[in-house]
Amino acid sequence: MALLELTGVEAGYAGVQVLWGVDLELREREIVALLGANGAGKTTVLRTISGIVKPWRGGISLQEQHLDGLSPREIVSRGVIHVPEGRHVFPRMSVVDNLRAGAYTERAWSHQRETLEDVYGLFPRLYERRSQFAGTLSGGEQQMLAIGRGLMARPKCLMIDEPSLGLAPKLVDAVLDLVIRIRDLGCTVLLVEQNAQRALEVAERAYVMEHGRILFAGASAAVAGDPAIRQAYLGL
Amino acid sequence: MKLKSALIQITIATVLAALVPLVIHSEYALHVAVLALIFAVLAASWNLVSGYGGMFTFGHQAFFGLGAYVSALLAMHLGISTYLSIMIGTVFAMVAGVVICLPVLRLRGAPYIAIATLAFAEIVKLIADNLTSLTHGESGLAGIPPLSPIGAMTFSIADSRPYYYCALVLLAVTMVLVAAVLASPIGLAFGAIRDSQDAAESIGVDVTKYKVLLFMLSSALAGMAGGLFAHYVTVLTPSSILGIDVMVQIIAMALIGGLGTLFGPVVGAIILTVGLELLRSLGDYQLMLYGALLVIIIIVLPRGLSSLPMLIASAATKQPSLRGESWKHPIKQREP
Repeated sequence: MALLELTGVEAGYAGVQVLWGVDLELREREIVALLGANGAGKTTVLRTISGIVKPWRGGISLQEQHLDGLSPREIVSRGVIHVPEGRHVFPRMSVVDNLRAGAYTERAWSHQRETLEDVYGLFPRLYERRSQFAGTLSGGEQQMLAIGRGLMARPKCLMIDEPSLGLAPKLVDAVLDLVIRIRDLGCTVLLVEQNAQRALEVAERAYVMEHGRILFAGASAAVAGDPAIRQAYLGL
Repeated sequence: MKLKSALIQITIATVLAALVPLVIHSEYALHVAVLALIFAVLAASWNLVSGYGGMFTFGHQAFFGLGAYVSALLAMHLGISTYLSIMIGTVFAMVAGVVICLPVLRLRGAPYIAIATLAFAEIVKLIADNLTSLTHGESGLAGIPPLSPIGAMTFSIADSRPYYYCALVLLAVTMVLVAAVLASPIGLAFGAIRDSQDAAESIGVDVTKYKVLLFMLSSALAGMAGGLFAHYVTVLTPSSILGIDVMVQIIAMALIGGLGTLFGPVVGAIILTVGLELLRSLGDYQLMLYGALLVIIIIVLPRGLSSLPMLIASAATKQPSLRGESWKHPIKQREP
């Protein structure tokens, strides 16, 4: 059964259309990669799902309930969480306050303690640094904090935008390994990545975008094995 | 800061401050102390929007002035209890806060917010200047009644002592309110909005709602401080309470004490108000030295005087401190 479904979504900014009929489907407990060159519309897909950009046409549904037209806040409270690109932690708040802020919706607030333990289990590093200002963390730690903060909302679906951006290769591996562990906890992950090679290694399925359209959808192996796609769109 | 330790600190500070009139008998010194307390409330209220909310407003004097004028005029013309008139003045300032908040909600860059709020405050000042039938303009609104008596305690211009306790209660209430709000989930939302609006939205914080709330709280407290000020000094002129120098003082107090800290603005208000008086003997050199001191403090302690204990502690334990580069000034907040 589909957890999250986009059908014919068209959206854009102030009169400029970016998405031209995007169909996308996420099933429970799977990792899906959304790939494509810069400007293909990957981030706009995430922003449209999370309600920051309102879809012009088409439908978005979570477990057969409409998401389109809801406010970002309502979408978060239904369990669809967007970890934005560029980390965006709250630099002058402590690590633990950053995490607590992630449990801001009513649904998550009452489970704050247990979720916090789970997140510390996934990211022991954050536990060590819990009372430090988030702005003093390294880039990799900030990325982990951003993901951990997303998890605090107890998501059904976690959308992570460019988690490996600006990280050292070793940290990229660590972050992508975490994506697998998050999925194993029962959360669906939509992963937007420039690093197509690594994304295809962790994802079960992948969508390839160009100019605001989905060009190709299929199993990761099929995408990785298609020489034309590899060369034209993924730069592999 | 944990709520419990904040409340303990506020209690200790209040008790100590309550002893001051027993030690100091000079009427002049007490007068300065009352002004310091009222300005502490004002600086603490501005610290809410700027230090905790990250919205660097430049028109906070408008709420102070509105609270003062509305309360003074109501008490003079309708003869109602000054406490009721201060309450109405507070509500008035709060409503004005919501009104100015609406355009500010649409502005993201700090300079635009500063300009919009400054323009609003200048409009309020111009109205007070020109509505001479009501405010007497720059010739001053005189004859404002002192605070109504509470039981056996009566208020008059000749005795600052009762006002001192009144201002102290207002400051203590303000501090407890600020500490309680910051320790609640609302405080987390304020911090999130200040640090990154986009990320705050992504975790489901209703940014608009909390910004309006912050403005309401902040302008109401400023209005209440204004009301008390009006019934204390009993003479109001637009330039003395609505002028831009009031705003400059508020900013200096918050910056010197420590923007975005609970006690910073209070420390700043006391130091600046008392310090300015101490330097009075220097005559023409007073403002020169005052300016130089401000510059030195801001260079040496960019997070304000209230960061001093933390700095000493972190130097002693060799912990990384936040002095300097990792501290983001609200003026330089990241553009989306």
